[in-house]
Amino acid sequence: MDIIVCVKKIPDPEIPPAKFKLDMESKRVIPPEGIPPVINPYDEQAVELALRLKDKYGGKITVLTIDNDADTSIVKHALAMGADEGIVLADKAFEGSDSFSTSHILSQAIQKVGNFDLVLCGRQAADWDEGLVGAIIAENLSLPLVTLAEAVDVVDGKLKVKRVTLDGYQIFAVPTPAVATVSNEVGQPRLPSGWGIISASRKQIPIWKAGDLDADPSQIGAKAVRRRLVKLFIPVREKKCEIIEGETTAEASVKLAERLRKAGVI
Amino acid sequence: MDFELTEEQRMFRDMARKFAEQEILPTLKENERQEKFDSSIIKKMASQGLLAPHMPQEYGGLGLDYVTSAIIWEALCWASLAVTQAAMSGPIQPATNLLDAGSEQQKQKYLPPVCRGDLILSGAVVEPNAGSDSSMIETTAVRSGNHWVINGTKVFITNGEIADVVLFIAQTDKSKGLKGLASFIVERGTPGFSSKPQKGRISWRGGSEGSLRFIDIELPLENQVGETGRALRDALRGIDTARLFLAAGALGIAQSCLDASIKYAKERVQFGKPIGGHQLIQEIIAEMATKIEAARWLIYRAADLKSRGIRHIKEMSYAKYFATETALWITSQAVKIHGSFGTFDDYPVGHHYQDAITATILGGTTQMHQLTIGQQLLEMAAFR
Ligand SMILES: Cc1cc2nc3c(=O)[nH]c(=O)nc-3n(C[C@H](O)[C@H](O)[C@H](O)COP(=O)(O)OP(=O)(O)OC[C@H]3O[C@@H](n4cnc5c(N)ncnc54)[C@H](O)[C@@H]3O)c2cc1C
Ligand SMILES: Cc1cc2nc3c(=O)[nH]c(=O)nc-3n(C[C@H](O)[C@H](O)[C@H](O)COP(=O)(O)OP(=O)(O)OC[C@H]3O[C@@H](n4cnc5c(N)ncnc54)[C@H](O)[C@@H]3O)c2cc1C
Repeated sequence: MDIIVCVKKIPDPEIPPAKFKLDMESKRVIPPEGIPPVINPYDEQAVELALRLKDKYGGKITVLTIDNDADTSIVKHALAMGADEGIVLADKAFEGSDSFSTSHILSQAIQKVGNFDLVLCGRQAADWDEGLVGAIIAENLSLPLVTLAEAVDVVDGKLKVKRVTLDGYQIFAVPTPAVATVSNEVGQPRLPSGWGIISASRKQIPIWKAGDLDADPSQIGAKAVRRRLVKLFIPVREKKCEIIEGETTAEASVKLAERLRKAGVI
Repeated sequence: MDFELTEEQRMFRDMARKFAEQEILPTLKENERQEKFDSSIIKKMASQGLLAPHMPQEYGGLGLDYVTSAIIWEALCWASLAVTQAAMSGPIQPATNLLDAGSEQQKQKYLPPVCRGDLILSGAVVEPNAGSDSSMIETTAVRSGNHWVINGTKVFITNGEIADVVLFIAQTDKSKGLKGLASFIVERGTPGFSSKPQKGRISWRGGSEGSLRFIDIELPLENQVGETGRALRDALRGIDTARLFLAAGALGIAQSCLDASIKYAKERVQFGKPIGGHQLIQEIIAEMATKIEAARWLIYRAADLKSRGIRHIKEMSYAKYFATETALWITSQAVKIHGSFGTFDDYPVGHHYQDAITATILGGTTQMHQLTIGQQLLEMAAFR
C-alpha cells in the first residue's frame, strides 16, 4: 500500500510559557531562541500509522511538507522513523498562505507524487489547531475522507478505518484512494532507529518549487487568502485569592457558595 | 574548525535521549533499590540501533565515528551511567579487543550476535590482586598437548554473572611478566567455569558486576585470541574506547544534574525568593555549567583524534580524568542544591551522585590517568 503523509513543522509545544512570544504587528509567533521546531505531534502519529500499515502490507511511504525555510529536518525525522521518500515544498509564492492555499499546494504535490492508496494528515496542526487541511485536500482531490482515525486496516480490498468519537468509535469501509486525518489515540510513535538516522541524514531531499507543481497561482500565497486574521494575542490570565471568613464552618460554607454563585461558577 | 554538531549527531542525540527517558528511567528507581540490572535493555538498545554505535557495519554495528558515539553515550547516561555501561560494555571493550586481535572466524562467530544483543560478552582482566597493575595477573594458562588449562579468579567483571562468553587475560609464563600474558575466549557451560554476582554495592546499583572462577578449564588452542605477549597491547584500543565512553557517560550524568539543579533552583523558594536568586547558588550553577562545557570539549577532542586515527593518549586521559572527577563534584553539588529532597532517589541527582564515584575508578582510576598524562609530558613513568 502506497501512502502519502503530510507533515508540518511547528514550534515545540513544550516551550515554557515564558519563552512563547508573539509579534502582534505581523501576527506571527516569534520562533523561540535555542528551541528547535518539531514535527507536529499528530503528524508524527500519522507517520506511525503509515509505518504500521507498511509493516503489515509493504508499500512505500512518501512524506510531504510545505516549509518556506526549505528546512528538511522534519522530513528527515520521518525518514529516520522508516518512511521511504520525502519532499519539501518551498517557494516565495507560498508566503502568507492560509488553510485553503496550503491545501491547494499539498493537493498539487500529492497528484505529482502520483500512485497512492491513502493520504494521511494529522488531526490538526498543534500550532494553529485548525484541523482543516486534511478535509480540504480530500475535497480538492474528490476523495473519500475519514477524520480522527485511530487505526487503519485493509479488508476485502477496502480500507477499514476506525474513527474515534467522544465516547466510542465508528468503523468505516472506504475505497482507495482515500484521505484520513489521524488522531492521537494512535499512541506513541516509534523512535527513529540508528540505521534510519544514518540513511535519512545522508539523503538528498528534493525541494519542489511552485513551478514544479501544476499549482494555480491565484490559489496560493497571500493573495489567495480568503480570510483575515484580525488580532493575535496572548490572553492575560489573572489569579486572585479571596479568603472567605465565617464564625463557623457552616457559615463560611454558605458565604462561599454565595460568592461562587455571584462569580457565576455554580 | 567546526564546533557545531552535524544533523546526524543531533538526530542521534535526540533519539538516544528519548530512548533513555522511555526505556531506562521508568524502571531505574526500583531496579536500583533491588540492586538489579534488567538485561532486557540490551535487546531493546540493539533493536533501536544503539547497542554498538562504533562497531563496523559488517559486524552488526552502525560504523559511526567516535564523536557521534560519545554523543549517544552522553544522551543515554543522562538517565543512568550504570545501566548504559552494563548494557553496552560487551560491544565496547571486549568486542573491540576481538575486532583488533581476533581471527576472522572468531570475529564472525561472536561479533554479530554481540552487536545484535543476542550474546552477552564480558571482558575480564582484573583480579583480586591485579587491578591497575596488570603485571600482577595470577590466572594461569598452561599449554598441555592440544589445549590450554586455565585456573584463576576474575573480579568486578561487568555482566560476569550473566555473560554467555568471556574474553579474558591469563599468564602463560610468570617469568616473562607482561610478555607472558595472553587472551582467551571461554563460553559459559565449559566445565570448570563458574560465576557469582557481586552484590552489596553502594554505587552502580543499576549496573551488573560479577566474579568468575576458572578451575582446570580446558580450552582448545583456537580459543586463544591474538598472540602470546601482546594481550595488553591488543586490549588497549578497547580499553581506550571504554575510557572515552565512560568520560562521555560522566558528562551525561553531570548534565542531568545541572538540568535538575536549574529546574529545582527556580522552583524552590527559601528566604522569600527562589533559591536560584541567591548568589551562592548561582555561583555553583555557573561553576557546574562551565566545567561541563570544558569536559564536553575535552571529550569531543579526544574522540575526534581517535576517529581520525591520530595518537591521543594524553587527550583521552585528560577527558576521562577531568570528566569523571567533574561529574563527582557536580553530582555532589546537585544533591546539596536539592537539600534533603536530593538525598532520596525520587530526584535524578541521587542516582547520579551514587554512580559518579565508580566512574572515577573503572576504565583506569583518576590516578592512573594523571600518571599517564605525567608520563607523556615528562617522558618518564612514575608507576613502574
Ligand atoms: C508557506 C506557508 C506560509 C504561511 N504564512 C502564514 C502567514 O503569513 N500568516 C499566518 O498566520 N499563517 C501562515 N501560514 C500558516 C497557515 O495559515 C496554516 O498553516 C494553515 O492555515 C494550515 O492550518 P493549520 O496549521 O492549523 O493546519 P491544520 O489544518 O490544523 O493541519 C492539519 C494537517 O494538515 C497537514 N498540514 C498542515 N500544514 C501543513 C504544511 N505546511 N505542510 C504539510 N502538511 C501540512 C498536517 O498533516 C496537519 O496535521 C503559512 C503556512 C505556510 C505553509
Ligand atoms: C562497575 C565496575 C565494573 C567493572 N568492570 C570490569 C570489567 O568488565 N572487566 C575488568 O577487567 N575489570 C572491571 N572492573 C574493575 C576495574 O577495572 C578496576 O576496579 C580498576 O581498574 C581499578 O583496580 P582496583 O579496583 O583493583 O584498584 P587498585 O588498582 O588496587 O587501586 C586502588 C587505589 O590505588 C591507586 N593506585 C594504584 N596504583 C597507583 C600508583 N602507581 N600511583 C598512585 N596511585 C595508585 C588507584 O588510583 C586507586 O585509587 C570494574 C569495576 C567496576 C567498579
